[in-house]
Amino acid sequence: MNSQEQERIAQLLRQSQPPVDEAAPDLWPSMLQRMNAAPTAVPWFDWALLAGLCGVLLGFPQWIPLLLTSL
Amino acid sequence: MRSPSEAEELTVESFWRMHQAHARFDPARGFEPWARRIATRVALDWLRRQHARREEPIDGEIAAPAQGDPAEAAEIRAQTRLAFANLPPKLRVAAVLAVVEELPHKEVAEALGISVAAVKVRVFRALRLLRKELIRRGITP
Repeated sequence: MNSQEQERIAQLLRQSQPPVDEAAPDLWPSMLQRMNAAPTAVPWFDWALLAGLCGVLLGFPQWIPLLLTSL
Repeated sequence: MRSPSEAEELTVESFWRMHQAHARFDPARGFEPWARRIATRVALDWLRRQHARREEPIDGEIAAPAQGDPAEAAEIRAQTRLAFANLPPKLRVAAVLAVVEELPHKEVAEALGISVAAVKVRVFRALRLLRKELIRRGITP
């Protein structure tokens, strides 16, 4: 395929694409709906941190008042 | 993208992914390339899902009888769209960005996460396959 044929095909392709409708509707409500519907996922390392803290506090309960005063 | 509702759905999906990935956004590299990369991935995912659905008429345009030049031109446009829809998704995306939207190859490469040379190869292959497909459909480009 030479460059002329390539350009002709490219031109056909450009002409075949429907024009973009600039007057697009407001998509913010859909976005908001998606954001509200999404569950708030807790990252796994937060759970690991919590489990570690619980383990430490079970092993060393005398640290509980120290932790509470530092909060 | 064939219908406005699908385009809207994918636009929302793109912004949703941007929202989820905002922590990875690097302001030094600019918003547009980052957003385009995400939107391109969304489009590619959608195209791959749709890949099985082939040869379906677009808005009834194929069924329109050829009467005179405008009808013939419309027929060629419709056949081109159908032929283009038959190409592999990764070639289609490269061709849309580089040929239809006329973006520089460097920007297309950034959006697709490939090299400029690979973009050129994909665009060339897309056009060659499109030509082949059009000839198969009885249209001499």
